[in-house]
Amino acid sequence: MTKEQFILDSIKPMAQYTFAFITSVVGIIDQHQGRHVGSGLRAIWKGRRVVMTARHVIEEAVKTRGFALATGYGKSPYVAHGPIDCDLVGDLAIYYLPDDFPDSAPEKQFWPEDRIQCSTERLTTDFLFVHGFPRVRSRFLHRVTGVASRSLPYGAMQRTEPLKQALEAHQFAIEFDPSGMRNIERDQEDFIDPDGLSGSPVWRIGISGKSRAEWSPALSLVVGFVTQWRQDERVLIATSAARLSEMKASHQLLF
Amino acid sequence: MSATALFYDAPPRTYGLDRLDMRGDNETGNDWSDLRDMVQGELARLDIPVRAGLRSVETQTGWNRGGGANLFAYRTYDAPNSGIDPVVVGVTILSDPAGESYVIRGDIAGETIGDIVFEVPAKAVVGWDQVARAARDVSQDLAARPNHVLDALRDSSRKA
Repeated sequence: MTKEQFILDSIKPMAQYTFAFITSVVGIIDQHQGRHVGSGLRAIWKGRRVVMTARHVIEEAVKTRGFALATGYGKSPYVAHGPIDCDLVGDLAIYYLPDDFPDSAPEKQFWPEDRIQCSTERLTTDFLFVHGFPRVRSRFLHRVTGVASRSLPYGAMQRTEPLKQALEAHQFAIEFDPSGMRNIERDQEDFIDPDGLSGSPVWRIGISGKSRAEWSPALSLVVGFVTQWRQDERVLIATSAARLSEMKASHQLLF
Repeated sequence: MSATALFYDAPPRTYGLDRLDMRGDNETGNDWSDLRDMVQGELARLDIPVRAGLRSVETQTGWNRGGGANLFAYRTYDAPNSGIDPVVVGVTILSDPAGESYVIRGDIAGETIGDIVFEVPAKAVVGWDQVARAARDVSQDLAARPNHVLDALRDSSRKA
């Protein structure tokens, strides 16, 4: 099996495995309407349930009437309240979920803390995987009173060549070309505007240094979060998960 | 208000896959012994032209690791009874602690006196495939220099 074949075969299992951990951050328009503004990861951090996303996602979401988090199909979303820790440098946010956040359902889980890699180890020699919700097709559905979002599971290698605008030490770039992406239901190409992918977790799938026979999605590690899209250079920019451990609780957003 | 989701079909990008360190499907296999054999195979190409220039030459081959090197594969050429220091043609591969990035060096040097007869500039690479490629390049560069070996074995100033 070639590397290309392995990678093609790994996307679907990674998508299925990680789907239970990703969430849409929905800006509240009114009590009946919401708008998807970004993506995030449900995780355990410092022993607590959190949602990790990009800081600018939260800032945009609270411009409306606050934001909500999906809690499962057919269930009312959770209307967020309370403080959010923000990283002013790395554009990250950690929302420690209050006690009234519903218990996890089978389809909504929390990514284990020990599988968040707070270093850049093996980033360049592993395959990177992004899973989130692009904004363009997120839409309000009157029938189910909710926001319907198609998730985008996407894989690529790290871009190691220098970019026009140099990366900060905490950032890394991921090859991203939205051409050829299809809506499975309609079997036609859709333009994927990755704006809504901001805050999406980035995994390295865990094949680096291992053989195909050893690999499973259970080896994957969260290594960062999408914070920018540079369309002209066809890359997504992510902030390394290493920034998470440097975040100061003093930078809080209250709403 | 509720939320649901379906997948988009997004083909993965394959650019840069040469860096993917997936073991088992590499051209040199999955381990250091395959890499060592490849290097030795390349260096062995020196034997015929060196023997053509110095019929009495004796050759030994070997490898070891240690001193920070993941692999040192070498070939020794000796002009017996000449008193001239034998020549070692070797390729050294070192890695960082994570086993992700590597430095590959090659040189032709005196076995005892340690003089450098020829040196291939060090190559820094990332990923197993790149290691294999660089090791082959360095080995081939050395294998193309029988005259350096012969000149050293004839150089009376190099008596050990």
